[in-house]
Amino acid sequence: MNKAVLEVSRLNAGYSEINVLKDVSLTVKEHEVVTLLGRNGAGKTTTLKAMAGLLDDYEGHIRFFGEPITKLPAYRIGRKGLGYCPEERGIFSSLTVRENLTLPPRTGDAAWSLDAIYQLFPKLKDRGGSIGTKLSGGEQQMLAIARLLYSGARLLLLDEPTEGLAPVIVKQIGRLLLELKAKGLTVVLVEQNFNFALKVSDRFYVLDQGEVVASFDREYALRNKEQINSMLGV
Amino acid sequence: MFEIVGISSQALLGQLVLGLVNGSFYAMLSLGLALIFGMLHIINFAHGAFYMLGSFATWLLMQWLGVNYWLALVLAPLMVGVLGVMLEKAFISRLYSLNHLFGLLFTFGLALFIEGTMHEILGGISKPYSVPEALQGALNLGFMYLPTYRGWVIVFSLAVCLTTWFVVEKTKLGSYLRAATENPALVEQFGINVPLLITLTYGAGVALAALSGVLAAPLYQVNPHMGVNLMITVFAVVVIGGMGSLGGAIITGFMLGIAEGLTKVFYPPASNLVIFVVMALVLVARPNGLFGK
Repeated sequence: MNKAVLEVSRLNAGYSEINVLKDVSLTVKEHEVVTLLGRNGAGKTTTLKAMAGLLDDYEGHIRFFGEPITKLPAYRIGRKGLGYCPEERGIFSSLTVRENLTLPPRTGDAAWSLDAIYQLFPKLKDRGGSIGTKLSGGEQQMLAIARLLYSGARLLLLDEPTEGLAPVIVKQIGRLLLELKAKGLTVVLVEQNFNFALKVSDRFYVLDQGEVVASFDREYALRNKEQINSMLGV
Repeated sequence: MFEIVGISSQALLGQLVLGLVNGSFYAMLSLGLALIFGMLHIINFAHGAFYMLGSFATWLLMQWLGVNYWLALVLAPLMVGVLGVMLEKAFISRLYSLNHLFGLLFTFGLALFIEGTMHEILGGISKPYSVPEALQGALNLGFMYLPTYRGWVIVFSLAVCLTTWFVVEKTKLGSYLRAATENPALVEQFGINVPLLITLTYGAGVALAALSGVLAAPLYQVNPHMGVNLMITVFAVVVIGGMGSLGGAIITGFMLGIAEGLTKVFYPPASNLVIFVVMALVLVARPNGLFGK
């Protein structure tokens, strides 16, 4: 039994009267790829932000490798090795590719060397001096993930890494995630693209209107594709 | 030597160099403002007050402790910078979640408070501060005799501006600053203590203002209101350059100093106006400023 990397229990968040999250609980174990599915506005991104320390106000508890990180300042959560990549990827336009890559402070002994990163992403080496946002969308996504590896993140929280990317790039990202998982990383994905998620994920949680309405593993998902697709409304 | 429309090149070059002296102050002060604005999104209206405090610290260090100019060049910005850090921690940091207008109002009030307090304690009479011995005398530039101290101001402020630019644009610390200007939340999530970075940026911007104040002490008379008129011009410089870029702040500062100097040659009465005329033109043609994004 792998140990729990992330334990989220009874997360509640809301703006005034509207509940964005209602009693969201989930667990992510070591070396797993777990995907949060759900329609737009289901609370997936908000859940991810809470885990990353970027949600100001919420109730509930979050543990990272057994250690409580509930409502810690974001920079302390980041330093513990919890890496987060927002939907818009967060590549800085005032920084070069290399500066973007080496921006986060390195934590723990899981931090990848630049050599190891360049081996996996040769493009980033070739274009190290370019402005970060001059890269293509796919390259920016690779840069965003490479940056988390450089930081030494042990858990990657990725918000829609395939959004707006060409199918061939989506495939590359899928292969990359499987490779990272094989190297021992743990990943939490937020995805609208169920077919992509199915290829890389071990387990799924479905959110609807801020609540976890279903959770299942890969085998179940493969057997019940149609039913899940209709649940996601696609 | 040659003449342009009846004006000797001597007068022209002379005013150009003197314009650079004013430009040095515009550049250093608008650089500090741009640095602070980038991180805090606050227009630091107290900038002139910190400039004045830098001058006063220099004068007081000399009067009370016999500390010379060279030591004051380090100590005064440090002391005023620490004051800036404390003010940011105690007050300004509470305003970030509010409309940016509150930051502006607060720093405006702060400027009045600081200036009023200094006036109350030390009176409104200007204090003389003599040029340090090593920088007395004049340099023969061929076309003019430039007081050595003015030459020092140009060279030193140029060095300070370039160093600041280098730190922000080319170093690791600078990459934190640039990134945090774009997306502070994400930079913080990466494990960087952004609130601390913001505090230190304010301290650094304030220290730059104080450093200008030290440079000004032997040049202008030290008095509690010395920052007020200067800052009106510096804000115009900032509007012309655009808030976005540090390099832009430096270049615009020096350029407008020169523009002012040259106007003095051709039509002296307009020299106090020229910057504001340029400001009006820039606002019409490029509302975000020459270097703004």
